[in-house]
Amino acid sequence: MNLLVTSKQKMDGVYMVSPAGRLDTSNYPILEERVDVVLQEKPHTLVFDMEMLDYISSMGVRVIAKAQKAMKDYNGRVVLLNLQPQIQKVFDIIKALPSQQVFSSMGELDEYLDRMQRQVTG
Amino acid sequence: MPSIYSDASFSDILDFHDKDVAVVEADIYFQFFETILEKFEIRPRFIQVDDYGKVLSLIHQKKVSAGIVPRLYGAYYEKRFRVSKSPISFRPTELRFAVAKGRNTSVITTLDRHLKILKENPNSLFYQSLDLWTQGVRKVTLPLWLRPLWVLGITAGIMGLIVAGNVFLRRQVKLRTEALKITIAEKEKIESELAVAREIQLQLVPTNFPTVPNRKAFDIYASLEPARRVGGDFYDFFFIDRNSLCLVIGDVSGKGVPAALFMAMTKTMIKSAARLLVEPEYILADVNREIARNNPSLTFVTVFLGVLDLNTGNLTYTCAGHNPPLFIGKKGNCVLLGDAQCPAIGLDDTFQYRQATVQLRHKEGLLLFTDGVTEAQDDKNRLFTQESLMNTVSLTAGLTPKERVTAILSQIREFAGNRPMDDDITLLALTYFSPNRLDDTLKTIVLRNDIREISRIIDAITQIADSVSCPPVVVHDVTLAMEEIFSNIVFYGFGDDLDHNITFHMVIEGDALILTLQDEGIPFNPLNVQIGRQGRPLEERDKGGMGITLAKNLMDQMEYRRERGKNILRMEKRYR
Repeated sequence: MNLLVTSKQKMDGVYMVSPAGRLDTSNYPILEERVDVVLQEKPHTLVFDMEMLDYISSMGVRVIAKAQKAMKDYNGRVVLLNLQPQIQKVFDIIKALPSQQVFSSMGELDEYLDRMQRQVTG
Repeated sequence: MPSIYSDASFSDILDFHDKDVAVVEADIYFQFFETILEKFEIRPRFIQVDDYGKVLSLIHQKKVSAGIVPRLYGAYYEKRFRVSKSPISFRPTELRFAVAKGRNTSVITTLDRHLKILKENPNSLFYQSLDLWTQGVRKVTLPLWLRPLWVLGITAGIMGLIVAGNVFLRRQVKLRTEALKITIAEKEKIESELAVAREIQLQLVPTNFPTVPNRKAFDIYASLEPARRVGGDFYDFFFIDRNSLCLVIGDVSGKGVPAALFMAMTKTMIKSAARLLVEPEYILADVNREIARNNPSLTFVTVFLGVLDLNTGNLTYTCAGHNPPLFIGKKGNCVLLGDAQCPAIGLDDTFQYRQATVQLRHKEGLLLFTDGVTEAQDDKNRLFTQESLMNTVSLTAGLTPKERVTAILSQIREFAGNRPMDDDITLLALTYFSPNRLDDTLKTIVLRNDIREISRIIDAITQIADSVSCPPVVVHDVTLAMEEIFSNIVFYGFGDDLDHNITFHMVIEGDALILTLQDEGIPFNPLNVQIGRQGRPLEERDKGGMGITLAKNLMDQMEYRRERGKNILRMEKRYR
């Protein structure tokens, strides 16, 4: 089982990272490296699209936690999108991710991003 | 021709002188008789009456000494008047016929013919004139069987026969009833004797089958179904030592209590000999010597005896006149264990016994049986046969011995239909589990302290999970938990950069997966790791603690112990 990670800029200041496959102890550095690259752009919102992710271990969770810590310094935010049940279960057990940071569809996320945009500009 | 009736004193014509003689007036015989007597100057006193009946009546009443009636009349009535004819006779008339020479025969024939015709008609002139003379009384000649004496005799005879027959039948019924009572009593005696024999038989064979679910070396089951008539089957299984299981099946010739007692004796002797002599050929040779030396009834026993080494799976066996048992492969394929065929036990104390060995591998089995199985019959007298047995066994691959025996019995019952069993049906099935097994429901892997070894753990879990149709969500949880625990050991368990071994063991127990990890690292009880404080940000959590928290929550149960310098972590997850 391999891990494939893609990333893109969704809009200004909003970046999306999409890990696909299996994120575990042996391959989490692949994701970690990509996240590090994206973080250099200082995004105010980093979206992890988990739709294609089948498995995550605590080391994978730790990559996300590490990104969140890095962005906290400049009030950036980590957002999770489309969690499969087994992934949701892991985050539920660890009980550390605020529910307002989890979205179950792209529409929900877009709505959130619009609201954020208005706050910044208004 | 007339007849003279008189009292006894009349024997001569001279006796008539001066006697009273009854006659009918104007009777031709009277006139003729009177003329004759006058010639001899004999003068009786004639008393003239009106008819011949009166004549005989007077003689009977002794009012006259004699009387004259026609011969025919006298013949009819002498009995009625109880008078007797005197020997005196005379002939008053004579009819003479003159015929031409040589016609005599034809005249007589003609006369006879006419007379015959006259006699056949009851109203003919012949009978009319006869009636005239006999005053209407005809002498009727009854057939022999209608005569009163005969009728009486025959009636008495028939009644006698009826009475005799009745007596005879009563006697027969009584005798038969007695005989039946004895038969029923004997039958009841036999029935109760057979019941006793059956009870002895069933109480002597072991019925407690060991049912240890884990780490067991074998699974065993046996069944003995006694027939109504015959009863000499037995089986037994017991440990000779910690590692050797002795299996016995046998069939004693004969039936009832004697067979049951003989079977009890044989079974006991085999057991005590087995503990001393260990080798099947020695055991059976010894038992044969003992029995054959004192066996006037020449009862014999067929026995199969095998000793199974639970460590190696080697079965050493001797077959003493018994049906060779079946060796059953893992896929239900079976062959007969036809070696070491020796004579039945009990007939000759010089018999020689030998043994053969076969190896049972993991999950291979044995089926011991008696001839009641292969010789079970249906209503058309067809036999169940060894082939049917082997076919049935081939359909029982993967079944436990109990399920296998049950399946065979139901197949035999279906075959036999309504026909009752003629012989005992005894089956003993065993499945061997090797201690050195590499099993699809049990795995032990030795891993290096390298995080890449995690894929081997995942492969093992996936393989076992597939074999028991584990739901995917359980496979996910178990895999994740194992990854967390294993990586925790690899990263923090040893505190050095050296190579170490971590042993992973997995087994299915009932409806749970049991996973164990053993390492010789720093004593560390992951159960003591606390779940991070609520509300504390994710990024500030203790690194190792998060994985262990995840594992503890994903598994149903986790136990830690430190044993002989090892951390042993046992995890359990129900999968259904």
